Order: sequence, then C-alpha cells, then structure tokens
Amino acid sequence: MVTKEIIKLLSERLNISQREARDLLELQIKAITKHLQRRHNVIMRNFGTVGVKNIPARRAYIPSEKRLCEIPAHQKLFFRAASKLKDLVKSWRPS
Amino acid sequence: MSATTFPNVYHGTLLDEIIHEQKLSRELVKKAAREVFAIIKEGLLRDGVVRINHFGSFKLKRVAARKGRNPKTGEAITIPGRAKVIFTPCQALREMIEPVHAQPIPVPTPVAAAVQVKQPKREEVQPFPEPMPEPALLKIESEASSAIERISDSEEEEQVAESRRGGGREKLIYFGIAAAIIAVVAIKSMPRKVETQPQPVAAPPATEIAREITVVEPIVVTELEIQPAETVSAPVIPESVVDMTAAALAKPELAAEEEVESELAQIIAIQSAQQRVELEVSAEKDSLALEESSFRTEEEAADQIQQPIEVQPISEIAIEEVALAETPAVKQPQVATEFFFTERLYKPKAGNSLWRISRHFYTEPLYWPHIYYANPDTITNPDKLREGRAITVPTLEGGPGSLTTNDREGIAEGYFLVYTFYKGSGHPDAFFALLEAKRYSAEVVERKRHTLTLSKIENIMLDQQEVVANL
Repeated sequence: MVTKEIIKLLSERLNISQREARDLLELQIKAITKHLQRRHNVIMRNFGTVGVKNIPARRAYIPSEKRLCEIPAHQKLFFRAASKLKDLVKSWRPS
Repeated sequence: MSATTFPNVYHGTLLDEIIHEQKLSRELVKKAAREVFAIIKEGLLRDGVVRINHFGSFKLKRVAARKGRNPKTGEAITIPGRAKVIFTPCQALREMIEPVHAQPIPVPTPVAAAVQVKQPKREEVQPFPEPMPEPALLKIESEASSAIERISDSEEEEQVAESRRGGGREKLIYFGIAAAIIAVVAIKSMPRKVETQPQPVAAPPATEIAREITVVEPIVVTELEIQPAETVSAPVIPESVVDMTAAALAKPELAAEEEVESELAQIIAIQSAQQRVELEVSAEKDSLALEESSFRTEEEAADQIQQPIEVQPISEIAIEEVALAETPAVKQPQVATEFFFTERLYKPKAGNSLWRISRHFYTEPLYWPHIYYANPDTITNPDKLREGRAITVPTLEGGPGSLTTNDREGIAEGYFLVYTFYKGSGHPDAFFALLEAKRYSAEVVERKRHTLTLSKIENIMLDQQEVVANL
C-alpha cells in the first residue's frame, strides 16, 4: 500500500475529496515530523511510538575501509509497536 | 532505553495543534487520524508493507520460532514465531534527525592511524637498500688496511692507519651529507674514509651527488700515494657511487623511465665534469701538503682523469639494466585501467529505467540500448524494467567521445532491437531508432537491411544518415 491508496480510502470513508484527504494526511505527518525534530517521542494510541534515541559512540570494523573505525555518537529514529498492533499482526504470514 | 531522555508527546496534542492552527473541525481531524491508523493496519495485513511519502515505510517481518529460557526458573521453552512491525524512516527524515547518520564518516582510531603511518615508512625504506654501500666501503677499508700493512715501516703511517680505523664504522651510519661536506675540509690534514658512504635518503639532486663525489675522490688520491701500484682501487668507488645514485634515482620514479634516463644522463655529465676539476685540485693540494715528487702526482692526475671516462659506459649499462628490470612492473597496472566500464550485475529499483541506468554507469544516457542488447531474455520491453530482476550492464571499452568499434556495434545492435520492438508495437518513433543505429555503426544496419521493409522516404533518409565520429 502506498500514499495514493491511503488517500483514496480516506476520501471514501470520510466522504471528502481526495485533495482534502491528502491535506489531512500531510498535516498529520508534518506535525509528527515537527515534534520529532524537537526531539519528542510521539505516542500514537493503539498504534505505537515514534521517537528519537541516542546511540553512543562505538568502535566497529568497516568493511569498505578495511580497518577498525570509531563510529561517532549519533541519534536515530525508532518505532515501537503498541501491544494491540503486535497482537493484530502476530499471525500474519507472507503470501 | 535511552528514549526516556526525550519527552513524550501524545498524538492527541498534535491533533489539537492542527485544529488550532488550521481552524478545522475537531470531529473531522480526529476521525481522519483514526481512519489513517486503521488504513495503515489494513494495508499491513493485506500487503505487508505501507509506504507513506515524506515519512517512511511500515513493513511486516516474519520471525521464526526459537528456543528460550524462563529467566526466573531456567525452564526451557519455545518462543512461538510471529510477525513484527518494522519502521524505516525516509532519508529526508533521517537526515533531519541526524545529518551524520545519513552519511556516517568514521573517525579512524589512534591504533589504526598509527598503522597507517607505519606502512608508508616501510615502503620508503625498501627501495633504497642499506646494505649496498657497505661492501664498497669494506673493499676500500680492506684495500687500505692491506696497503698499510705492506708499507707499515715507519711509525707515522701506522698512526695514520689507526686514526682511519678508529674514525670509521660507528659514525658510518650516522653521518649525513653535512658531515661529508665538513670532511672535505678535514681531509687536508687527516683524510677519513668514513664519509664515503652515500646516504640512502630520498633521491638526491644533482648537486648533492656532486658533493658526495667530491668526498670520494681525495681519498682515492691518498690511497694511491701510499701505494701507487694499486690504481685499480680508484674506479671501484665511483662505480659503486654512480650505481647507487642511479638505483636511488630510478626506483622512486617508476612511472617515467625516459625522464629518469635523461636526468641521469645530465647528472653523469655533471659528475664527470666535476670529477675532472676536483681531481686536479686535489692532486695539487696533496702535492703541496705531503711534499712529494711532482712526477707521481702528475702521473696519478693523468690516470684519474682517464678513469671517469671509463666509468661512464659501465654506469650507463647499469642504468639500462635497472630500467629494463623495472619495465614489466610499470606496465602491469596499466592493463587493468584500459576499460572505461567493466561488466556488472544490477538489480533495478522502483523508478529505474535503462536511460537512468546508462546515465549512472556510462555517464551518457544515449547508450541505453547497449544494456538492452546484452539482456535479450530478461528485458522484454525496454521501456519497462521489472523491479528486482537483475540485469547485466555490459562492458564499455571506451568512454563518451572515444567509443571503440565493439562499443559502437553493441549500441547499434541495441538500437536495431529497439527498432524491431517499436515497429512491432506500433510506436510512432520506431524509425528514429534505426537512424540512431546508423549513427553509431553503418555496418550493423547494412548487414540487416535486407530483413527490413522500408518505405521510399525511409530508404532515402536511411541512406542520407551518416555515421557520427564523436558520440
């Protein structure tokens, strides 16, 4: 499923035009990204949490460099599924 | 988890902000949010993947069952297999959060840095073998000592020999070119052999070589004075010096043999000229200092002037040998860099086309039929690539503007295939592919022309189309 299909389904279910549906979706995404930029963890009920976590510096062997390098400390996005989503998805199998 | 370091925000507050800023109805926004999550869940269960523009993609991944233990009781249990949700943020979002994360630049550790520094040092030392000068010196010393033993009648000469031995081996390694220059002055009163060693430092310029030779020559003279019969010892030293300098000069400059030869020729010319001048000077000095008969000095000077002329051919041969020995090592890497692009496999991604792949690998998008020609089975429609099915990107011997005949034929064959495909599917621009094929190679088109059914105008156009040299 891609963005276009989401917008189409949203417009059908809310009885609004696809342009409006797209705007509503984009507003939500913009709001989430704005808070992620401010280093907030966004908790979405019954869906999960999107947030930022700190990754400390570590040493690792870089195959392209062919030597041990120090990877500097950085931040990373994470997604933690809510327990309801986990249960919903649990029995899924690839077709 | 370190996530606790950042504050939490509930999605409801975001919606409130949206309602406040956009002045939309609360009911609509909340309903839309609820529906969006519901649709994502449905999409995950249906397709296993949901891609959202400017945000990222949610994917489902099946995790196999595994054996585990209850940490409290230590009881072995099997954890059942399940599917889990994976979120991959899009590149723009990742770069927004952490620019380093987008393209991590690893900082080398001090250990790794030390290793890096050591390697070039070893490489530098290898081309200039240290043990080489020692045999030449040993010869000189042995000859000198033997000469001294024979003539050691008077006590004065024994003292001189002791002074020579004492000064020698320890300082040998440590004395540089600076010490050699000082020694020239010292020779007047007490000649030393120590400084004769040419230092195996990086390739010395012509002037420095000349300095080294200035040191060498006076010692020869002194030896000859002690025993004039052994005139053979004189040419030994210049040979070794010239060979060493030749080797030292030739090895760092592997790439350009001709330059090395020309430089060496210049250096030899300077050497020979300076040797003659200095020999005369040294002969005069010695004659004055030691107060010996003018006959000997004149004879020796005459001999020594002839000697460098004999040295020259030997040194030139040595240089040629060095050059010949190094030629295969230079030519080998050049063979590998002949091809502009070597063949490889490529798995097309979403949004890829032959045009784009050609532009990426060949830097020229117009060569795309070359890829189509190399994949007759995998690519059925050249306008539509199948995602995830690997194609071979064939070799290109020359680059844009310097295509070889093989490249041109390959591209022309590709364009011919494109023409046949377009003709079959009724594409309006089919004929232009044929014209394009002739731009690259006329032979390929002429070879297959009997199979074509062309109209009169098309025949005329094809005849008028010329092969373009620089494509």
